[in-house]
Amino acid sequence: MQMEIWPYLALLGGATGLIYVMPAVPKRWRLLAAIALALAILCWAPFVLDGYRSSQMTRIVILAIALVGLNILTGYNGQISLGHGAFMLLGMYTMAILLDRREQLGFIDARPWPFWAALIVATGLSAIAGLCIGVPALRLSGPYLAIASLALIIAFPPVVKKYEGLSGGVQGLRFPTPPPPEFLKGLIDKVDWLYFLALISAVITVFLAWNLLRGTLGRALVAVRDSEVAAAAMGVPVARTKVTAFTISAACAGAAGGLLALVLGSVTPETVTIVDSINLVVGIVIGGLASILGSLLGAFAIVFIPSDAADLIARIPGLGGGIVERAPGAIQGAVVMLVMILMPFGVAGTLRRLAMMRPTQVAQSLRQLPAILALRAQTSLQRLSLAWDIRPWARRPPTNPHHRSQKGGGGD
Amino acid sequence: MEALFLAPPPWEDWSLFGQQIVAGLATGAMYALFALALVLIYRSTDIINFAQSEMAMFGTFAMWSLHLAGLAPWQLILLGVLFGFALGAVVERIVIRPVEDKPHLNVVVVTLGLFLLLNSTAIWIWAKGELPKRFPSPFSFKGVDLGFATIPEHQLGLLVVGLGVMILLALLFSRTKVGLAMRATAQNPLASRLMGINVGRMLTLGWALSAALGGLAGALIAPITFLHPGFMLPIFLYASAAAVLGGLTSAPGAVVGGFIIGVGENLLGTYTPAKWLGPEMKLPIIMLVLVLILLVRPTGLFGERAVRRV
Amino acid sequence: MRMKVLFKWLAMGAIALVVALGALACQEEEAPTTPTARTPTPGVAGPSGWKQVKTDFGVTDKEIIIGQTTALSGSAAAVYSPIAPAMQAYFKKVNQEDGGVCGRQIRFLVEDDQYSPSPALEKAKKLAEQDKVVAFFGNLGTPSVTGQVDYINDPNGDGNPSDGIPHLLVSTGAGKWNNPQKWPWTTSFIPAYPDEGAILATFLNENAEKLVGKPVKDVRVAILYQNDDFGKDGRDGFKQAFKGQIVTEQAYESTAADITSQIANLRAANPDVLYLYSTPAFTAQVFKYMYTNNWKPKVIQSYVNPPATLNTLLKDIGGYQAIAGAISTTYLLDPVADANRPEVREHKRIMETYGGPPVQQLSLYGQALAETAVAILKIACERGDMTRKGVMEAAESIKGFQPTVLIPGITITMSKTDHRAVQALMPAEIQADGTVKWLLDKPISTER
Repeated sequence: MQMEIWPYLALLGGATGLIYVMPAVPKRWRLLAAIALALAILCWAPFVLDGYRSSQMTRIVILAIALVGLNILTGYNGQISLGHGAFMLLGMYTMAILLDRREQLGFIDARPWPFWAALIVATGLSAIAGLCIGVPALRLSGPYLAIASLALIIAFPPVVKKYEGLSGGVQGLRFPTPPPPEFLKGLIDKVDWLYFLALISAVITVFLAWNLLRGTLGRALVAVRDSEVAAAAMGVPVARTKVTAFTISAACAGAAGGLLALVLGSVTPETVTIVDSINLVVGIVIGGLASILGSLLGAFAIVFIPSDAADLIARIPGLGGGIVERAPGAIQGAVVMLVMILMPFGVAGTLRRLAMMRPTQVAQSLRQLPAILALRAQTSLQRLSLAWDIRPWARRPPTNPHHRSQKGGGGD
Repeated sequence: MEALFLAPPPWEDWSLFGQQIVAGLATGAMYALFALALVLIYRSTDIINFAQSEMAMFGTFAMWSLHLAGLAPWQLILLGVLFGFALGAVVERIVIRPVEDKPHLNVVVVTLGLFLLLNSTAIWIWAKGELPKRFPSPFSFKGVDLGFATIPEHQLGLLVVGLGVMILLALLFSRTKVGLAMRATAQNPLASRLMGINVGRMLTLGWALSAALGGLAGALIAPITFLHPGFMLPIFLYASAAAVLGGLTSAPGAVVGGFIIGVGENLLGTYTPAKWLGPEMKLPIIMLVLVLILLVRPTGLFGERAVRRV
Repeated sequence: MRMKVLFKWLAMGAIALVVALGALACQEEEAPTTPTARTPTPGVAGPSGWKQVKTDFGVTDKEIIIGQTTALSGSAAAVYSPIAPAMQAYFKKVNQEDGGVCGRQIRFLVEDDQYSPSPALEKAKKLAEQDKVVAFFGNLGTPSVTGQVDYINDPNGDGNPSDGIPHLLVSTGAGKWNNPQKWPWTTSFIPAYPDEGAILATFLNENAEKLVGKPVKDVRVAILYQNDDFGKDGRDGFKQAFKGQIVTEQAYESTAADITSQIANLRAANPDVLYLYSTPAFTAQVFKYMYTNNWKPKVIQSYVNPPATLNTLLKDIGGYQAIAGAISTTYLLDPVADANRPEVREHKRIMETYGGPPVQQLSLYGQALAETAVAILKIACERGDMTRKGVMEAAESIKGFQPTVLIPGITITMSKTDHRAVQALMPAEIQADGTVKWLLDKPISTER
């Protein structure tokens, strides 16, 4: 049977969500059951979705690996890296160099390596690169780190283009995609096999990350993020933690890059661009910082917003028309902004808050909703007026006790 | 035929060396002017605005449409600055205000979304005709002979404007009450409120001034690089590197950073061995230089050292 | 406690309801089998020219569905944005004024691939499997086509390309798309960049005395090229064929802002001729530098720099005066110099009537591509076979077809072993009054 993508996603999210909130069952069982169900539905995907959506699911799963790593670095550890695309590109090129049929550098011979060995090497090499970058990154923080990491993805393609002997220059490298292993031949075809490979890698990554974050390292990461000085005073090895975060995140990005190279069968210096690299950060913020679920949701956002947001918005009666055909990017940008404004803690963060709300709180919010909305509307209209506080002679409006408690400090 | 170096060393051809330096200063002035806008917004709001380049581009395109209607270049620049001011204020009110009190990354993502929105809207409105478009300049492009090199009049004007703006900004932040209020707002909004500073107004002012400066930069850069929806993005990337190099809290730092990157790029592209380095590698090399300098001075050459209170 | 349990059941119910509603509301539309919202022009009411043909995908009794992946968002979107609307406008004209092709209306689906290989592959799958197009026409961009070419030539990946989809007239100048053995379903359209480089080099070899006043072996050429496959292809093609001296090569990244440094290096090498394989924004910077510094080498440049565009960009320094004498190649009519030719006037009418972009080089390009697509479909109709294989064979049998907006003498011919569409280029010199002077009687073929 064939299913459209939106019913499929609704099934995936809805069924998992239902199991997760089911009453009367202890949390641990609910979580396990939800994860098992989600995995089952994901494994079902290639057989029930068409080729286009299947390919998108593959890319989502691969990006999820990269985002889990990036979330460890940025969400849990607070180091902003806009240049993780460079690690992905490194993983891609490692994969391509080892799998293609050309001799490079004199010691990498023409025989292609088995793909799993190449994947491990790609991950390892990216981890080492992450280590090398993570050490100098200790000195930087905040916007300085962000721009310095952006310099990584800006500088990497020209380097790749220059050393043509190794990297194939601007044309890049091509290699044949590995076929499914013997015992699976006939069960699933070549394309689906890559999906399952990515899915297995993602499951392993999520499991490792979850274990890591549950233990000492997880707590250390968050402690360093919240206050380096306090963490150091408590005996947390700050430098080691930060560098470890970088190494792990780079390894994840490298693995994701390697898998992406397998799917595409070719790699060029432009396969991962500056915009793609920045999109990784957009993904984890939309999905939810410091949350593994957030990383997974972010992957969905990165893939589906560019490809379908414009179409979906156009289907709302009353909108649509020229802008969808000529400039879908405008709608994508608006969607990103809206999601950020409406869900400041990301989708995962909002879901978590919803799940934590007590019934009494909900009832109270619902009762107060009309009053809150009216107040918001009133202040919004006033706020939009540019003369709001640029006019020097204006009287300050009467302060509203309700408003102040919500904003925690009294803005305008 | 495959020489090791693409150009003779400086002592053999001083004229070329001079040309590279002058061209580097001119390019550096472009980066510096935009870097000043980035410094302005960072000093007043503690944020890097990733939509800065597209706001400037949008304003410049709007000015281009007005140019078709017959306005003169100086009028266009003035209007561009005003348009930028208004755009910055509007963006801050509507888009940034809801996320101001949230984690910094949220604001960054909102600005990235804004980037995409403005870029695509500009394509929708202006990309039907031919691209790139020509943007008029109040200066001509005749060469001004400096003895060892020639610089087009327009680039010289850009240089002068850049230095002027740098002085004005430095004075604004260090000598005026408004500048002090803006800096206080960025460092500690709560305390500033308690001191009677209208935080909202300062933030709006910061965004508005920064966008106005961006508009000025766009109007002066477009005649050199020509006008197309992506024309400010390379400038933004270089300018953020320049701002970071000089220190995000220092206006003179941004200008020095811009010149270092502009001149450094040119010299590295010309005087390195072509086989392993050469012009294609000047971008990675200058980025490496940036990172090395940051390692020695983590907040930039002239940036304020952040004192961390425990 | 009971409240909590009850609340959770309510929450489950709410989630289930929302999910069900969402799933129902967001059903994707079926690929419709009837034409949408197009009223046939009176007089063309019935299936005139209609013929029963063999079909497998994308061709019904009423419609022919064709597809394209192009950059609607992303870095390249702005530059190439007029092409797809120009093609749509031309197809609309064919539908309304000529009754379509084979009595069927053409439906042209355009998908956004963000100028990136993964989305290009995905959208190709969508068009091939969901929308079931009969062929792709004019897929744009080397990164995109690179990502999708293996899939399109062999969708089920079994090594047997018999299930491919015609991947016709791809809009990229890379030389590698003319490879019928490796990619039997893929053809290029525009003359490849290495071929243009070779043609310009050959032209310079043969006319060195006239152009520069020296024998070709003494001619000094400085090369400026964009550091991507466009620029490198153009540079390599030139270098292989040129018989003189290449005194320096300078590269710039497409993300560069100002390339004065590279131009100064070009000048320091003291060349007679500048070979510019660059895009208009950067080529114009070279001319501005020449003006500022009073330097006047002979300029040879790529066809991606339309004289009309350069004229507009260089208005401050004299427009056509500044670029007079530059030599390039061309295969399309010039939107400004040839504005009074009936073909360009008709092009203008079509664009204006059917919602196309303003007349410019890219709109002429789009129409040329669309005309070729229509010609291929007509051939397939005549042969009675509009299956995917039939359309491919029709494409391979097109001979001597001349789209109206191409220079007279340049035609489109393909075969089973030759998958290049436009096969020739005309060297031309830009004149101070804006006209473009063709320098030879016949265009030079790109046959290698």
